[in-house]
Amino acid sequence: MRKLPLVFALSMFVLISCMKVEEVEGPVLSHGVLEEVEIASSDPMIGVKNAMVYLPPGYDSLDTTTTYPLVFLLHGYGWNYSFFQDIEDIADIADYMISAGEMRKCILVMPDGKNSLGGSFYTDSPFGNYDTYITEEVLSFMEENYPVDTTKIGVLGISMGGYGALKLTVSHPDIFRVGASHSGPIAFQVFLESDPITGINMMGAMLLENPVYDSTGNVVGYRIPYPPLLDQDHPLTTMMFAMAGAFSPVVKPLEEFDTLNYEFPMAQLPDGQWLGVILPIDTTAVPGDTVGLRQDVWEQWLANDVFTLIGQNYTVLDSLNTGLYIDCGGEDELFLQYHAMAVHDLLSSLGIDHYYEVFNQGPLYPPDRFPARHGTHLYLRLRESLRYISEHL
Amino acid sequence: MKPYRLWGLILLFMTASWLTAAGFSLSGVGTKGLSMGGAYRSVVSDWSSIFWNPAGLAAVEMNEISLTGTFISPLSSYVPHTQIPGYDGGYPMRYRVNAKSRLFVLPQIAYVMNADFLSSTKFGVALFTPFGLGASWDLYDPPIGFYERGYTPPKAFPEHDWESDISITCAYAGFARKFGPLSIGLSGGPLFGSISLRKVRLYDPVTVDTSLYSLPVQFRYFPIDTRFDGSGVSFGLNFGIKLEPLKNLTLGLSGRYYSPVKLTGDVNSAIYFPKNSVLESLADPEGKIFFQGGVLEADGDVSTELKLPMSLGGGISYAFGDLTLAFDAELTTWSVLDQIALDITGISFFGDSLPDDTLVMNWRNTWKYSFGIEYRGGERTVIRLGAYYDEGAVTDSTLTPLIPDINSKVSVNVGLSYLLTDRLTFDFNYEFVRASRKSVSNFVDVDSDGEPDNMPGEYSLSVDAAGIGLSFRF
Repeated sequence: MRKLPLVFALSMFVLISCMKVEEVEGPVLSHGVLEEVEIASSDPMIGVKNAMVYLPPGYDSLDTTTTYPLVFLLHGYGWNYSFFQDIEDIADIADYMISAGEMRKCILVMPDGKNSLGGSFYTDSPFGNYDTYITEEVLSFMEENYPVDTTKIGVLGISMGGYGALKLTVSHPDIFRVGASHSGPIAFQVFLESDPITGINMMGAMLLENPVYDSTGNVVGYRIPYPPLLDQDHPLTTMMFAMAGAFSPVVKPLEEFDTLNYEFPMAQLPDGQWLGVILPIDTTAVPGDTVGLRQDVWEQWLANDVFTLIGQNYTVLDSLNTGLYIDCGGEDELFLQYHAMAVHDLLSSLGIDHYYEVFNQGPLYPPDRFPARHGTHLYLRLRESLRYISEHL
Repeated sequence: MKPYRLWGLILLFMTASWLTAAGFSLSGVGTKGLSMGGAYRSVVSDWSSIFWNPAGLAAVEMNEISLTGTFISPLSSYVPHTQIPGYDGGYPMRYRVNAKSRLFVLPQIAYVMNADFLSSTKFGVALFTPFGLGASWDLYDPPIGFYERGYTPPKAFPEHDWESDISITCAYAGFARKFGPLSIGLSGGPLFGSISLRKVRLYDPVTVDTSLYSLPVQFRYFPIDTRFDGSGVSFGLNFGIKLEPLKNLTLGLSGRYYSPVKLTGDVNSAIYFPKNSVLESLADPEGKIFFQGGVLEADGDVSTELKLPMSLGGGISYAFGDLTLAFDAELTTWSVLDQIALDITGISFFGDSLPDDTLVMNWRNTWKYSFGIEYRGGERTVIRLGAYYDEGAVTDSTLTPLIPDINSKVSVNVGLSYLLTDRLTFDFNYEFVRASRKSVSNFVDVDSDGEPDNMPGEYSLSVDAAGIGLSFRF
């Protein structure tokens, strides 16, 4: 009896000293596998391209019964198939999301959409039939080599890839059940509208990259020269040439190109003809001019415009309940937030359910320190789009 | 001097070297006062009077040596809501993080002399720890994508990256004398302070190159692991009175003062850069260092002054036969801790002088209300119960995981004293403290230096503590 207090006290110390807790009550991470593969195209302009494939945690190549949804990740202009891994570390993001239950187990494929102009816009053209490459050849490769559930296919992309993701979804709703665009040029008419802040449109901005000087160094006009200056100092010109390569290409003899105006030969083909592009605007202007539009070429662009295609295919999209995701930074350097707004307004007017967000900095992120620019927040936005896609597959 | 007294002094100085302190804003000293929730100013009559109310020494009837061990096990949790791009993945967003499990052991030792040659004056010395807190967190890891696959940095980011360890140990002597119903006491002596702080700061390269605004957000912050260790000596002083105006009614009043502790020590920092070959290839020559996965380190000397709060409290107790009820109220002037200015000398990562730094504290004064019961259950046993309510000193604008004192706290206490022999007493107490959960929504930059002084999130805290003591009278 006299030892009772001591025994009680010692018991308390043992109890207290044995109390242990997990330091971080987060998910236990499981890791998937990243593979680099080669996927051939029947189109000689594409040839054999590398692609990155992410296989989720628990994937077993010997398991013939389990199938996985497939998600295409389309990179942006100027990048290639390794973008999502090199810059965003998509494998670790997917590992985390799957481990945390934020996303179902999916196979991710990251094909290469880069052509000789820096970007294919995932469109069939003499510069490469990239629509066909993605929707037939890459898809067939994935079906043949991985246990893909072909009824559950989604696609997402950034910038050019954001355009590609929605265009492929709208054009092939029988293949893609859901598409997600981050900062994509998805409403081409906005290219012709003046930005309310700068007072110029994208076509005008492209011309501003190509000034003409007089002998005293004053700007007397603007003209896209031949050969065009396609480099880091002319980013809009470079991108517009890539878009023209996708939407208004031309193949004809060199002497038939109107190199003083809209037409630019880019490469000679084996048969002696020249492969070139036709720009949809007057490539010469003087200060104060409005940009001249070449309507017949512009119609070719609009035929590939996501905004236009939605207007044509919305009944199918609605009937298939196709998932559509659109986001863009509120301070996009290419003013693509207005594209997102235009498509959002269209989908809303058509009564098509979709996800839309033009994200800006909240009160915790002062805009002067964290401007939501083109692609800067993709690391965070991928979690939203992957979650959305996962829910729709 | 009797042999017993000599042995007591030797033991005191021998054990001083292994005393350690850390863990938590301490509730008090000794087992008895804690058992009563700190409602002890008007009750105290043992060695712990040196802390609670030096006038209590006047009631000591025999020489006494006491050895006490307090065991503290805090459980601090934090759910980060930092919401800064670049943190996500670095901080475990939405998931609860628990501080590293630690059991803090705080030994206390005292010697009290009922000196015949000092007439009715009583004398005592004690080593005890009135202040101590500490926490160790695994809060930050470089975010997903910070290092490209297959890359191993030259120095791994530390696992426990937010840490604090602050202790103030007092070596006090005190005396008290009784004048009829009034007792007056004074204690004081040197105090030994040590402080160790480690935290993560995030360096934004945009501050040196605005073109990096277009950098993907996961590369917008480079973590800096900063550690400061310092120690110093100062002194403190306690005073107190006890008054028995009526039979069975006792009043107590006491105050504590601590001189600021001048701390000197070292500061060590290391900045960690991401590794991304693509961005490195795109960067201009001066910017390549930002993406090469390297670690730059800097060291320096630091000095600072740590202000400690005064406290003033009063208590009242009334005895109903074997049952005594006690109540205390105490004001602590934590507002003196508005900031800790670090005077730093050394070379920075980039070759220039390390700038001085200021830790913004912005704390507020607190009130503590204590209630206790003491019951004498026979010749050998005394049972005590207690509770207190203590306001939190830390404001939302400066709350971080470094300081466990997150909010107002409620404590329940139980304890007993058991007379093992005529000379030897065993004391025990158990204390459970729970702080109100604290939710902090927004970052606050109190000193407008561009760096937040708090960490938004959900905070919670509970503490189990127990103590045992042996007192030998002679």
